[in-house]
Amino acid sequence: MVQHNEKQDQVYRGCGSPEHRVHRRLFLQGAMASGIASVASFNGLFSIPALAEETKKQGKKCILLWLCGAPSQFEMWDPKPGTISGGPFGAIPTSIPGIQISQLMPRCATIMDKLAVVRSMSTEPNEHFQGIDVLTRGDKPRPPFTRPILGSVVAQQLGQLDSPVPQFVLLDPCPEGNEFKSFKAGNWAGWLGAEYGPVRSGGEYSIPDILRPESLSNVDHEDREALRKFLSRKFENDRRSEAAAGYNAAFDRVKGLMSCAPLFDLEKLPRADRER
Amino acid sequence: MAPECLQAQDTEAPFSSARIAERIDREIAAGYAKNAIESAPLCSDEEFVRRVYLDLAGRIPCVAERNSFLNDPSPTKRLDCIDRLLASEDYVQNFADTFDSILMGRGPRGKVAERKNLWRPYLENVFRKNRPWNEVAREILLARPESPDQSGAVWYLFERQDDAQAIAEAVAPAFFGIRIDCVQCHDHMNASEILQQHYWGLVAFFNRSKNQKTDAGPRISESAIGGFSEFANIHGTSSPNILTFFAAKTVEETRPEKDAKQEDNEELYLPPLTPNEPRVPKFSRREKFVDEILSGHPMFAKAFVNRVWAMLLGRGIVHPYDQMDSMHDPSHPELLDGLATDFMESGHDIKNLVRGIVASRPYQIDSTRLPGVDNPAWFARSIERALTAEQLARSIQIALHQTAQNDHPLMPDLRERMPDVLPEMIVTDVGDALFLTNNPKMHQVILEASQNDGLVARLASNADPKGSVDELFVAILGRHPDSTEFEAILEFTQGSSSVESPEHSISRWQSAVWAVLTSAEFRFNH
Repeated sequence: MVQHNEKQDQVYRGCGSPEHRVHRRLFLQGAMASGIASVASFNGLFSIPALAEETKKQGKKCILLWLCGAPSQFEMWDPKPGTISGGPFGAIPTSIPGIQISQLMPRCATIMDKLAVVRSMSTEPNEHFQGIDVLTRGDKPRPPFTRPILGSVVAQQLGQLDSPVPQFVLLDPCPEGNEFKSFKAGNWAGWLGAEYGPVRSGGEYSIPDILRPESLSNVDHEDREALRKFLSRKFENDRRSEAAAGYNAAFDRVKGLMSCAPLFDLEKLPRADRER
Repeated sequence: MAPECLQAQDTEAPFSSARIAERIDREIAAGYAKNAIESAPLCSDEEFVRRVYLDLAGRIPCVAERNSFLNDPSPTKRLDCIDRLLASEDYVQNFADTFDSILMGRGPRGKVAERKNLWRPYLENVFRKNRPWNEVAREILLARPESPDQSGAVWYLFERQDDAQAIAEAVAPAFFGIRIDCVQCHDHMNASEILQQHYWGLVAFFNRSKNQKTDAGPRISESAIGGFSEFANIHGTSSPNILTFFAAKTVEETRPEKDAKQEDNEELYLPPLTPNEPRVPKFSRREKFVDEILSGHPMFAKAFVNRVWAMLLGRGIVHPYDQMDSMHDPSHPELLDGLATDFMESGHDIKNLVRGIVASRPYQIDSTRLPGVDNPAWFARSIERALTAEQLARSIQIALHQTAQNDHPLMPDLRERMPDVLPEMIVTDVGDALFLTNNPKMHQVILEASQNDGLVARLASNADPKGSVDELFVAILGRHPDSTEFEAILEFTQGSSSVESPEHSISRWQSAVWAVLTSAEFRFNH
């Protein structure tokens, strides 16, 4: 899948050490624990140190495609042929004998042996947003605490805060959104803190304002940020301000992100990769 | 806009805002007692003047306004300041900004220009003339202007381009404080009082309406026929879309037999009064809606007072403010009912309600978090709120130049970057931090402040750097620095290598100004 391009690999120098050279696509493939994803309950998922260590070592990553408002399971993975609830479309056989999926997905049917479909999933809350909460945060809300979303949990458990690449990326092709706008605007990192929130990349999949203003030297940039941080943290501590804590945590991610700016420069991607 | 000299308008006698403030103080204090907590003390004058300017005028005070308030010896100076701001054009612009977002949504960039000619002036007039909210709601939803100054009201429906579902989904939270998006396909799963028939009923009130461009401007015509359909629930059972809504009566209407063809003819319409206006059906669903559903609806006043409360106090008495259903109990039910009654009795007087709330003690207490006082629904400390894009764009200008323009280049970018108005919770996106750090227009603002009498230029040219440190804090944060802050800024701007050249001095002050301007203290109203 990867079109490896030596020249492109040289572009990114990150913090300056050669281990951190990353090509954008390699990064998307390899360095990222991404997206929102779901397993039964995340609270205990990484509590076994051995599992966390092993996962970290293997460099496992996770991509979740969350289709807010997708076709129902009857038109996708679970057509229930021949039943009243089955819907108007037929079922087709797949590369695994005995498993059928909707006729609308003939190409997926050919790679069924590479997919794991869970058909038994149901949630106790039957309302959309509560269901989304359970699936993305592992459990029902427990006010006044906000559970972190899976991507934030993965970032916190397996990532490194000083990492020069984002550990949790939300690729949102439709930032303006639909009725799920409030979900997307929610507090994703929850009690872990804003530093584990996603880096959002909008319709163009690029990150705006990631480059320093040209007329500002790097020294001035770092100096003024140090002063800003001192003043802003002081306010946070003096007032015990939650709003300021989240605000300051967001700024803590700026340095790492700016160092990975070339990763998000689509112009630097090989043409063949872009066209795919 | 000239913030230094707030333009006074007609001052109307406060109806009962003192009564509103007393009610708030009483009910909120009862909550403290019930939960055995102590509330924060009253905030200082320095904090109050920043807070009340942000909330009413939509910007921080300039230095002269701040000083004049602090030096005012009058014991009623907080109330005087509130009245002065409520009479200002800044209040009009600020509330028009907020209600534009609440009623229309931010939408993409182009919307600001589209709304400029009709909608925005209408909205401004609502707050400039302090029009009664029930009349405004009626004009917006009937969309049949009786005079040119009402014609902008049409835009609320017109912008939604004949999409009756979009209209219904916008009307429910904006005027009734409930969300109905979920009940399009089924009765509400949790708030069981909100039914699928309320969704399709609300849609039906608007599904005969059509945008029409006339010589007099955009209008919403209405057909006398059609708009009958059935909706199916998840069990497959069909029901007719009768004219009904949540907590309201059902409007009687003759339904044609199934498959019967309705004939449209002039008999069904009133004789035209004005040649340019669309004809009006004798049975008008929109008219029925405003007369029989909207007027006197039990949620109408409650939804409004809860929203204004949320704007000024950081969260609704029902939170979130647009989900006033059985899933979300009010923290202070008697207060909500009482405020709604006061609001109705005052003639749906918006300014009076705002005046009452900001004059109350819970509005004027300190924001520092107290140990043991964790529940924000107690209103035992002032809840921090993020400045809206407009408030931020104006406040940055005030801090740097003591004056602000609404058409500043930062305005559209900030609206896009930080679109939230009254968010359920404050979340800072990493993208916000990147914007404030690197955005070219943000950088330009700092560069411009280095010229003429901009803040950077003033600070750098002051022969007394200690005075500059103080001015930096007062201009941007509205307070004096404490000793550690003072030392930090002095060291930063005057450190060993800093006195090399005037250019270098300017660049250090640019950095210091940026650092204070992008600190959390400036970003929030507290």
